[in-house]
Amino acid sequence: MKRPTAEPGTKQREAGCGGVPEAVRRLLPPKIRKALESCSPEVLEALEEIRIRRDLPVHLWTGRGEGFLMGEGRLSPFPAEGMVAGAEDVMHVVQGLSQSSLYALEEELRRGYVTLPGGHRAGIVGRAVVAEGRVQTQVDITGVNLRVARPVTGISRDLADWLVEPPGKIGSVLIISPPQCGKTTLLRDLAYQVSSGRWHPLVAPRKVAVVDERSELAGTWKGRRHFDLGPRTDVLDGCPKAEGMMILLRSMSPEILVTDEIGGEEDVAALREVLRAGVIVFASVHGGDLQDIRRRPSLRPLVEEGAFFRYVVLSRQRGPMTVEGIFDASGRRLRAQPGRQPVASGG
Amino acid sequence: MGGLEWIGGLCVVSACAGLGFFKAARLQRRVGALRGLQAGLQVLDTEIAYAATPLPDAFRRIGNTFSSPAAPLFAEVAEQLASRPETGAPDLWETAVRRLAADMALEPPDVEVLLQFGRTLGASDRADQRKHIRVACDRLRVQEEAARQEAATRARMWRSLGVLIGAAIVVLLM
Repeated sequence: MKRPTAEPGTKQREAGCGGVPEAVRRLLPPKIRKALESCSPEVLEALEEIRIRRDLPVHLWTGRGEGFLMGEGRLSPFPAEGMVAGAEDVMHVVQGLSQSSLYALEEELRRGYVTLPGGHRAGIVGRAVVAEGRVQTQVDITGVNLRVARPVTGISRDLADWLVEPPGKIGSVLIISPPQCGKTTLLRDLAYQVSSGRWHPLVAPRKVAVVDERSELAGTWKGRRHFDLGPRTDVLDGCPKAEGMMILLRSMSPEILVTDEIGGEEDVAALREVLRAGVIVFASVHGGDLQDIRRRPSLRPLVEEGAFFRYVVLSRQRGPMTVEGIFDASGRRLRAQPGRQPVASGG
Repeated sequence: MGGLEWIGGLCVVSACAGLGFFKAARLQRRVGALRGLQAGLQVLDTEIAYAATPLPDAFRRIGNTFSSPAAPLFAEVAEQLASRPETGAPDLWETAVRRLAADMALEPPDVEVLLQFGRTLGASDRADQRKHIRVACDRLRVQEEAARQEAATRARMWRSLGVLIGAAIVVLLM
C-alpha cells in the first residue's frame, strides 16, 4: 500500500517547521540542531526518531531508512562517519526536557519517557535507582530518543472498506504492530474519522472516548489537545488504561472507546468489561502478527472468544504503516476487493 | 561670615550626612535581602516538595509574590530560564546573583552561600534539592543574624559619623 498522504481537512500544525516540530527542535544541542537543519527536506519530512546516545554517533530513524547524522547534514550508514554526541549533549536535552528541574521529572524518569507538547515523546535511559524492588528514578542518563508524532493522515479511510461491513456495521478493532509502525497514528486517525463522521459514508458519527495514558494520542499539554481527535471525542489524559476505561464507561457513555498498547491482565479484564457493555473498542497491541497475540496468555482468550471484529497487522515492510493484513473475528485473512487497492501482497 | 559660606557649609554637611545615612540604609537593606532570600527559598522548598513545580514556574511565583529586595533575583532567574533554557539553571543563577548582589547590598560571604546553593540547583531529585535548600537557608540565617547585629551597632554610627565629618570639614575650611 502506498504511503498515506495528508488529508486536506485535517490539522497539520507540524507543516512548515521543516519537518522537525519546534517542541523537539528546541531540545537539541546547537551542533546537532545545525546538522539536522541542513538535512534534505525529504529526510526531515520522514523523520521519526532522533537518538542521542552518550559517546556514540547521533542516529536518525526515518520513514525512508536510518542513518548516522554527519556534520554537514547528510546521513551515513557507517557509525564511524556520524557526529558523536557527548555527555554534555545528552545533558542538554535532559535539561531542556526538565526545564532545568530534574526533580520535576522523577515520575517520568521512573516510567522512562517524557511527553512533549504536541504528543511527541522523549524516551530516556540511564541507570535505574531501585528501592524495595521498584524503580524509583533514573540517574546518569546515557541515551535519549526523541520520537516525532505524526498527525492524522486519513489512512483509516483507506482501510474503511475492510473494517466496515455493509450496511455500515462496525465492530471492535485491534491493531497489531511492532513498535514504530504507526499504530498510534492509525488509532488517532480512526478516532478522528469516526468522531467526525468522515470515515465511511454508511457509518454515522459516534461518541468517542479516549484513554490516553501517555498523552500520546491527543498530545495533551497543559490541558490543550494538540491533535484533533474529532468533535465527538472525550480524552481522559494520563490515566492508567484499565482504570481509565472503567471511568469513561461510567462517566462519558462512549459508543467507541480508544486505547493504546493494551497488554497487562488488568487491561484485558477492563477491556472485557467494556466489550460486555456493548461499547466498541479500538485498541492497539505490540506484536508481529496474529499468532503473537494468540500466544500471549492474557490476550489469547479475547481472540478465541472473537471479541474483536477485525485485526489490522502493521509492519514497516514498505515504510511505516504498511498494512500486512486484515483479519476477521475468526482470524481469516480478508481478501482485497476487486477494483480496490490490494491490502497486502498475500491477500 | 557671609551667607554664601553658610550655604556652602550646609551643602558639605548634608552631603556627608547623606553618605552616612546611605551607608546605614545599605546595612538595613542587606538584612532585608537576606530575610527575603530565606523566605523565597522556603517557598521553593514547598513548591519542590509538594508540587514538583519546575524552576521557571516556581521562581516566577516567588518573584511575583514577594516584595523584598530579594524578589528581583528570583524574577530574573525565572525570566532567563524561560528565554535561555539551554544554559541550565546553575549558570543562570550564578549570573543573576553576581549581577544583583550589589543591589541587594550583599557582602561576599552572603554571595558565596548563594553561589554554592546554585551549583546543585535543579540538578538532582526532590529529596536532594530540599537538603540543599535547607542548608542554604541555615547559612543565610547565620548571615542574617550577623547582618542584623552589624546594622544595630553600625547604622547609628554611620549616621552620626556622616554628620560629624561634615561638620568637621566645615570647621576646618572656615
